[in-house]
Amino acid sequence: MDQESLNWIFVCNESEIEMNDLKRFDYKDKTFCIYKLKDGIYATDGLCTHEEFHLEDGLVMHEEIECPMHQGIFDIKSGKAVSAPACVDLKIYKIKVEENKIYIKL
Amino acid sequence: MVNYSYQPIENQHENMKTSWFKPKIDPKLLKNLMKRRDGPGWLNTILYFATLFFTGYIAYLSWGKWWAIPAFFVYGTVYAFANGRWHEYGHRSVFKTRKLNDFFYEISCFIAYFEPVSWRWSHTHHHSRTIHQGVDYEIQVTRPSNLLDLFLIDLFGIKRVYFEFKKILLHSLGIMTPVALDCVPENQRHRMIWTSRIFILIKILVIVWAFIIGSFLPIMFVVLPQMYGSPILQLTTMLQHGGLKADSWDHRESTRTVLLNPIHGWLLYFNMQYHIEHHLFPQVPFYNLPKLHKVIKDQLPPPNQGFIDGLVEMIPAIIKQSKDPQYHCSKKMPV
Repeated sequence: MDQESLNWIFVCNESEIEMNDLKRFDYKDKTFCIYKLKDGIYATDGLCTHEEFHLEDGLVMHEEIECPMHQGIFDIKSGKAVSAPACVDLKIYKIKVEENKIYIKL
Repeated sequence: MVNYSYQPIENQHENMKTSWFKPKIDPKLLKNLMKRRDGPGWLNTILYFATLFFTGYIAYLSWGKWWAIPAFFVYGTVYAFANGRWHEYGHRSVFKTRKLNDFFYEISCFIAYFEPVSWRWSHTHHHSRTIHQGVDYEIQVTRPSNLLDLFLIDLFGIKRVYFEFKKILLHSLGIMTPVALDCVPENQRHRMIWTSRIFILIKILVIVWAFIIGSFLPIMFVVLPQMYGSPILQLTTMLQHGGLKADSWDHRESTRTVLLNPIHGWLLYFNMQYHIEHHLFPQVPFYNLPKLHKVIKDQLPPPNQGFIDGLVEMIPAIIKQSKDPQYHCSKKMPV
């Protein structure tokens, strides 16, 4: 197995995430959010950059994720913090889908 | 015992790992309850501002007559309840359209005598550490409680308006208060300073206008309603946490849900009487809070059955807290 394939970590089956929703994914000591939007699957860090509250119960709307604690808003595709109290962007990750299986590149 | 000594926001990760109590609820149902629509927000907002203008017109007609006293009290009460409304717009849950939430947030903050930037940020502390002493800047009933302030001076909003005005004035001069230093990031302070200046400018213009036309009416309509119209608002907002447990990580112990009539609760107060539910799930819009209440009520203490019922429970507890800061109402928890 080459280094490239080692960096792709299996997350879940695509069917496990509903449209315009997200799923939490924990790997080692890190946590992520995996989103399903109309045009594909996306991944960001799991914790809000404002007070590090987990985004898993957040609301996905207009291709944005709203933090469930203080309603800071991030663009899912770019990770950009678009609305206070979020000021620092979320880190995003590459995703690939093969045979209905979602992989995240770490 | 939880260590709740304040740390800057960027160091709060460990504290946030101390979980708040969350009731069991089907995640799909919760996400459905969180969904935003513009319709209910418009209905409430239009009816509120129509009520404000109508009661204002009646008050205008009453000027110089004996019934100006009740007429202005009613207008002032409606005006003062903007204090309960900036909050919902600030959570951006009233409308689906974000710009509408932000627009009415600014308007309501001005009416409520709040500077919008600093309050948006300090309110995050209220949700992160609800009624955690020394961290939450929105503790209305401090320990020990000050009965003179709560039931006389601030019943008419005097101290609150004085401190808000002082804070806004200092911010307008570029002087940072503790709440700004603790809560507002440096890159947001420039905006806070300028909104403070605009706020002060508008208030000064209203006072100048009153002098020019030789009438006290502009001051009665714009500057003073948060004071003479404050009593019902003060008691209503006090019910949110008054007399309950401080420094708890369970909103059922620190927060109160009270059932109110539709005019008081829905029209004026944006359903914030469902306050435990709001703190548990701040993303749920006001029009879905009664539904959320029905879904999780078996996991919450029984709500107070009305405004008076809430006061009957709260006021004696606050009086006791003036002598015994550790005292609090013990809510009946579901088994």
